[in-house]
Amino acid sequence: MWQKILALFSINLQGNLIYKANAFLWMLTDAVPAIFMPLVWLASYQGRANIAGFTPSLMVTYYLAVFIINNVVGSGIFDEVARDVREGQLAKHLIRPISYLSTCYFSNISWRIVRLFMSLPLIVIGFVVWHNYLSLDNLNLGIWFWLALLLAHFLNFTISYTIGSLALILVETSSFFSIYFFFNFLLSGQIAPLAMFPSGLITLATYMPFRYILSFPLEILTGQLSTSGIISGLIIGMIWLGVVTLACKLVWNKGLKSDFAVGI
Amino acid sequence: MIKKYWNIYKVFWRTSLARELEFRANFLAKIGINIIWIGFYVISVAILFNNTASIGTWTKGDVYILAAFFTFVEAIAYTIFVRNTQEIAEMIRNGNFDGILLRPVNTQFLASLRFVSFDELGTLIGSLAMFIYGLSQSHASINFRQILLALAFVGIGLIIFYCFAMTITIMVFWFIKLDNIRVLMTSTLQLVRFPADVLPTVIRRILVVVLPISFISTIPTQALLGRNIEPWAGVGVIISLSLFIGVKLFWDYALKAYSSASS
Repeated sequence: MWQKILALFSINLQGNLIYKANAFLWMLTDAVPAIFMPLVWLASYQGRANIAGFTPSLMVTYYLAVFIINNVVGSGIFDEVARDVREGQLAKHLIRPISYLSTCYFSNISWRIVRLFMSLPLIVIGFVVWHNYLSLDNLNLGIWFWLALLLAHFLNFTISYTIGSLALILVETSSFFSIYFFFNFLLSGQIAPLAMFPSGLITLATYMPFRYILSFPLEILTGQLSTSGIISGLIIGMIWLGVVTLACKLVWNKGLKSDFAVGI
Repeated sequence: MIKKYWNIYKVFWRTSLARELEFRANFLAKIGINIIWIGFYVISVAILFNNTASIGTWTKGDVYILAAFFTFVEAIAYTIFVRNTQEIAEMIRNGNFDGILLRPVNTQFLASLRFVSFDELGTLIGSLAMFIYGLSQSHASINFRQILLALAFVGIGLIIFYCFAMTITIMVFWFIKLDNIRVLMTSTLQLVRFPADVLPTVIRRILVVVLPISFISTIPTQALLGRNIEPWAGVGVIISLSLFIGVKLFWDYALKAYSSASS
C-alpha cells in the first residue's frame, strides 16, 4: 500500500515540477490580492480603530493568511477529473490496480506541496512588505485550528473532485464550474472576512459549505470564534463533508452505468 | 490608403459577426459568464462600502465609474485585438503564420486586428450599467471638456493595452511556448481595479510612466470627475505613444527573425 502511495506521489511530484513556471505565474495572480486588498482597506479606515472588529493589523494578517491557507488546502482537481472524463483518459485509470480517487488525491497533495514551496518567496515578500502591521502573537494556532484546516483540506478536495466528476453525467460542465466559483468567491471569505458581510449573508455562509473550505480555519486563527462556535462549525463542516461524499458516490454510480469511455 | 484599410477592416467585422451568429447558444452563455465576472467585482465593492464610506477620497459612485472604465477598456481590447494576439502565437507555432505574410496588406494590421470577438458583449453592457449607477451616486459636476479628456485617456489606455498584449505576443517569435506570460498580464491588470491612490507613491508613479496602466481606469475617472489627475500623466502620454511606435519597430524586427515552422 505505502509503496503504491509513494510511487503515485513521486510521479505526480515530477509531473508538477515540469509545469513549475506556469504554476508560479498563476500563483502570482493569487498573490496580488494578498498585497493589494489590504491597501484598499487601509485607505478605508479613515482614522477608525477597527472595521467590524478588524484592526488594520488584523486585516493585513487576514489577507496574508488567505493566500497561505489557500495554497495549502485549495484544490483544482476538478479540472483534471473533468478533462480525464472528456478525453477518455478515465478508462485507462479504471483498469489500474489503484483507484482513480487515490490517484487524484495524491496528485492533489503533491501539487499542494510543490505550491507551498513555490509560494515561499511570495510569502516572504508579503511578510517584508507588511512587517509593520503583522502581529503574530495574537494568532490562535491550537488544536482547533489544525482540525479546521484538516477539515478544509478534505472538504476542498471532495467538492472539487465531485464537481469534476459531474463531467460523467453532464456534457457541458464549464457553466457549473462558474457557478461554483461564484459561490466559493462570495462565501468562503476570499474577498473579505465574512464579518464584513451583511448579516443575512453571514447566516447563509454559516450553513453553506464554502465557509468551511477557507474562512472557518481563518476565523479560528484570528480568534473570532468561541469554543462553542468552533464546535458547531466543525459539526456543520463534517455534515457537509458527508453530504458531498454521498453526492459524489451518486454521481459515480450514475455516471459509470451510463454510456461513456469517450475515445475508445 | 486609409480608405483601403478601412474597407478591409469593415470586412473583418462582417466575417467575424457572421461566424459568431453560427453559434447562438454559445454566444448567450458567454454573456452569462461575463455578467458573473462583473458580479464578482460588484460584490467586492458592495462589501467594501458596506463597511466604509470611502476608499481614500473615492466614494462608492466614483469607484463604480472607475470600474466602468476598466471593464470598458478590457472589453474593447478583447473585442478588437486580444484574441488576435493569442492567434498569432498559435499561428507561429503551427506555421500558418506564413499565410499572413503573403497577403498584400500590412502584416501587423492583418495579424492583430483580423478577428473581431463578440465574447465581451455582456461585459460592455455591465460596464454601461455600472457607469450609469456610478454617475447617479456621484456628486461631481461634469462638463463637455471633462468628457473629451476622459475619452482621450481611455484611448491612451487602449493603446497601452495593445502594446502590452503585442509585446508579449512578439516574444513568441523567439520563445515558441510563452502562454504563461499571458497570466502575468492578467495579474498585472488586477492593479487597475481600485483607485491608484491606495498604492505607495513609488508604485503609483511606475503605473503612470513605466507601465502606464493607470490610463486604463484611474486617470480617465479623475479626468471625468474633474479631480486632480495623477502627477506625471503628461509624461505617461508621451511614453505610451512612444511605446506604440516601439511595438511597431519590435514587430518589424521580429518578422526578420521569423523562420517559418512549416517550410
